[in-house]
Amino acid sequence: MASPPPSSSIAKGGDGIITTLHPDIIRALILTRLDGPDLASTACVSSYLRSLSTEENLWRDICCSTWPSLDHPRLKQVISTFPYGHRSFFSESFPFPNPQPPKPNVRGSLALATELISAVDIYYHGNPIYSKVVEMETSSSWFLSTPFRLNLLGVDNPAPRSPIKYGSPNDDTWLKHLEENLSSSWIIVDPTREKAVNMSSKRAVSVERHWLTGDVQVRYGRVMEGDE
Amino acid sequence: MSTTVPKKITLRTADNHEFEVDEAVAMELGTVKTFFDENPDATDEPIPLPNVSSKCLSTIIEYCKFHLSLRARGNDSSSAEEEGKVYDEELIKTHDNESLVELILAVNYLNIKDMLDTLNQGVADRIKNKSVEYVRRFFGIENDYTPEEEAEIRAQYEWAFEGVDPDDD
Repeated sequence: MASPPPSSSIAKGGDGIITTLHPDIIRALILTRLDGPDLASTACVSSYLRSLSTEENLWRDICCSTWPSLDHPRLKQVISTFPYGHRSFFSESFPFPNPQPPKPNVRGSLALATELISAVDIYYHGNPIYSKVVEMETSSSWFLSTPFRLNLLGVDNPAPRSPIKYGSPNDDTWLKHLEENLSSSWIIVDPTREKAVNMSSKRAVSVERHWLTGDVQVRYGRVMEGDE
Repeated sequence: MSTTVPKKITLRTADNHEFEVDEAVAMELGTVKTFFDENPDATDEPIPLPNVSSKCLSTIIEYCKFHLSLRARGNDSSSAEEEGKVYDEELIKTHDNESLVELILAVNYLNIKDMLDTLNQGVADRIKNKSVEYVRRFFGIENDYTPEEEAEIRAQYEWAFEGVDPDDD
């Protein structure tokens, strides 16, 4: 932990020492090393740092390293239509509860989205191990009469090699290990209204072994506020 | 190459101190290397470095010497990597913000990529996971927002303020 500076550095003048650095250094070499929340909080420090920290390419890099699934041509195009591009996308998809429910972009329009894009990322020890994007139409009667579910794996998409070592059956410490180290993100994007939301809790809500098949089920959840 | 007597190069800082270093060390400084690449028959005159203080240059030369010696031990030595890390951490720790920034300016001018990376990471680490007030105090940055502006911007970024470290100053 670094110690706080002597007050003399503050007395030096309003601009502060960090602003004696060339803006290119701050932007290209320092801000690129921060994550989303740090960059957001840097923007609140002063208008000068805000002007440096709102650049699209900074947020694009942060988004793509947070969610590798975003490296997808359709999503790139959709995110570029968001009001502040990747910065909007990040703040809407960041997996912490947002106390203020997002306001709909289109006032009065309650029409259902005709299409939803899901960007799914699964992490182990914080490192992404699986990413997938699924585009889905949402107006057909087939969609409207079935539970909303994504099947990511199939004959064409076998599961990737995973670094997770399979634990012995009925091993509670192994289930606990999964609960603590496996995290997920499921971002649903409405391309028409230019909105995104992360439907996954960062950590598992429960980890259980299925009583019959022996498969391990890891559940994530999110509680949403609904309109009347 | 290593069998020849090492050639010495003299560097002169902004405050008129002269540093005589091995050619290999001088070549770690991108700016100096470019100078010799472009002027292969340059004389033994000292190279002026008008943007670098002697205090910074001695730190920089130490850094280059140390990392050169680590590299000379080869990549197979994993302890070399570890020692490099420890050295870099110590370098950051022993510099307060002001001298860190001064060093970044000098290293940027001299174009030493690895060292610049290390120093910038050090600055970024000092901002990471800290409250807005902490960052302001830490770098002596004046808040130029009106209370209304600040409230608006903070509302926009509300999600970012979960779980920042408590201010320890």
